[in-house]
Amino acid sequence: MTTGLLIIVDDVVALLTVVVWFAAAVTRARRRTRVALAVLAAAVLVTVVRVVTVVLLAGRGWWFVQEKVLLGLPMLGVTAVAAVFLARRPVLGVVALFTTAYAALAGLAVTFAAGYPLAWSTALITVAFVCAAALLTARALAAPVGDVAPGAGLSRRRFISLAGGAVVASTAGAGVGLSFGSPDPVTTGGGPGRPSQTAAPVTQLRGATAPAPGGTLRQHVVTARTATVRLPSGHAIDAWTFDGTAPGPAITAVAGDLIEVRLRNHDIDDGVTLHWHGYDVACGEDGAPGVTQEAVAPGQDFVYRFRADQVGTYWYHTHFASHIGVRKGLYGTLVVTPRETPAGQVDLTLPVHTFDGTVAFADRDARTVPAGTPVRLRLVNTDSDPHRFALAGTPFRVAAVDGRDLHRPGEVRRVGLALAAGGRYDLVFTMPDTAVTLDLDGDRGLTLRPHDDARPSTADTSGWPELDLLRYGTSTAVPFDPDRADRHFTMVLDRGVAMVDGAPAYAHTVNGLGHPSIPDQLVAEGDVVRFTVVNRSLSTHPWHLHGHPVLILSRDGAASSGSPLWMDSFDVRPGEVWEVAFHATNPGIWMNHCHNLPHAEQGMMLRLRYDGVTTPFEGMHASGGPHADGPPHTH
Amino acid sequence: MRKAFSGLAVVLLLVVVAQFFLAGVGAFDTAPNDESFAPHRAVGYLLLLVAIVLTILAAVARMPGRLVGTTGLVAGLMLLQPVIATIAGAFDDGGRSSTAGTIIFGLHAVNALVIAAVLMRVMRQVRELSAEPVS
Repeated sequence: MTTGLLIIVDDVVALLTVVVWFAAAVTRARRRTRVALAVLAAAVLVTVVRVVTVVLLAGRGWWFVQEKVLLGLPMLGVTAVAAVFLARRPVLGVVALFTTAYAALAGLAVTFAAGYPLAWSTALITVAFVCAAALLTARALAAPVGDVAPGAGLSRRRFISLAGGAVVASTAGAGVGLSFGSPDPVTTGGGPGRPSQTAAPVTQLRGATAPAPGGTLRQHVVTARTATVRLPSGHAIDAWTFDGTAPGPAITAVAGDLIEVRLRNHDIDDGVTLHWHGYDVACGEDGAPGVTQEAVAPGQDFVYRFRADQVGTYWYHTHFASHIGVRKGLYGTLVVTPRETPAGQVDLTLPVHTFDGTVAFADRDARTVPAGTPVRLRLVNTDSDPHRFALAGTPFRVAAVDGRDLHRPGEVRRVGLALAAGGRYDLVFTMPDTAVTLDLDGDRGLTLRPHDDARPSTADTSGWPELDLLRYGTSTAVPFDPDRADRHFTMVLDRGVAMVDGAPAYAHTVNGLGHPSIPDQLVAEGDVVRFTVVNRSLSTHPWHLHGHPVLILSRDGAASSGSPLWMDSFDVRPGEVWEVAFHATNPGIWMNHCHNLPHAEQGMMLRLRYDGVTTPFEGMHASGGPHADGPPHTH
Repeated sequence: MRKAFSGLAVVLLLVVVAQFFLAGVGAFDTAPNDESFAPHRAVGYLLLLVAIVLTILAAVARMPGRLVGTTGLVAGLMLLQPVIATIAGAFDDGGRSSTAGTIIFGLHAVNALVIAAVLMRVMRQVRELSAEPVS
């Protein structure tokens, strides 16, 4: 069973625990003795099952069960034992049964609202909640105070409720007080802290100003503007665009060229930037608003300059309020080809993007490609969710992942390819003398035909197994030793109640916190840095570190055994644990976030900061203020 | 305190009706769910909070145990709503919904109807209570 499924099973059993303990309490309160006894037996049984599911989950990692083992189960256990022993007592028995139900409920609430790591404040508030609920129940069940003989001074019952109330109030107060302690603004991952030294601002970390010998200058002016765009499907949509089209202008270069892009903002009121997704530009060119530059307001401009030293498939997009801007069309492709390319190659760049629920991909008309032609398909996922591709009609190789070539990728056929949000795959093959089709999420995306009579394949690709890139290609030496990391950061991804941009929210969290409260990760130039990325949540998180590709070491404890796999956007699915590493050779302050952009906006975003680098800007705001797109569209 | 209770219960019922409206608005919006259901989600958490306050109020005011229980049931069912939504979402394959996810999500709507029904029952119990002379 996958860990993701196990998490769901455990949640459902926990929910069942709540239901049966409440049922036990209610039947007991209504004096349905026989039914009550049966329900109580069921409650005990479900509780035991719950212990089993937690133990199973613990086998997948402490991150998945910490709050259950340290708080939820002990509370449930203690109250359940008390309830079983007290069940026969008239009032006390009912109160004890209800209290067990509250404990079960509180444990579930902690899992959903707080998660990992368990804080003292959470534990205290939870215990106080259970005690308060127990006292209130006792009060609701007990006869009115007036029935007690007056004149007895402080009655026992009154004393208990007063003392209990005081204990509950002080426990809750302590918990609330603790929760206001602000977390450390920086985490060092086991490496040295920040030595005092002269600091350089990111604005000084700019790209090269001249091409490599033999390279040329590729100048572009790109204007961000609103426009009506007609999709390949025929739909017309109100988009935010670069140069009036979505995707924006395709930026291409040959290795060694200098790319210079002047970004102008015509009428995107919120502001706009250009982020070169996956391209390891100097930090000052990274386009992270509030960190490397201010967002470009209407009427303003900003010049990005960097040398095209990395060959491969990349893309660019706005990074300001990107959960809105990218979705509305502020993106385009960036492809850098080697100086020598195979003659006569058909090279197609195919970004996929979803506009208003409609998937835009290559135009659906079949293309004619003569048999024997080398073909390269560059798939780019510009959405916030993964897409599944399947190439039918020919064996092929996945030549590159996220722009970086794989080492000796083998020929495959009849496999599905899951592409993470923000990720890219380069598929290469030699055109056969029959038609080749590329399916996207089970629908026909692209057809290539050697001649007009070739009939496209009608194979159902939906059942094809997914290609596991961790076991694809051939292993070879890597430029650093990931086992001798200088720093190690663990990021546990989850949902929970946290502060996001100064307001409480049911956020997407990293280690229980939301942006900008998540501590910066501090590294020094030259460090080998390891990340453990744990997904405790029930949704997929495509993790994206700016400025560096990460080397995938393992997934769920199984080491990567194929080609060295360098990625800048990797999907961490529910319950998965990924180990990755990178060499810190690109100084700056880099965003490190989930590339499901609404998740990032809802808190799942932090910064990786090189020692000695500062920013004059005031920090990134996840959201760009009120949505400037007017009232929601309705059918 | 009983007046406060019945007043708050009426507010709760009205907001529940508004919540159905917001769910409809979200369902017909073409923006991604994260965005189009944001108001529905926010109001949902508000409802849960009010229902918990209402339950505490009932217990503190020493209203009949049955009424406290029914009000608590409303709070419990409201807590179930985001849990159903989250678990249904977990079955979705990335951004696309799966059959299992859709079926589980259907329970979210059924549970909403149950919440409305139980809330009506709370109102009826309050009315019966105020019809009785206060002893």
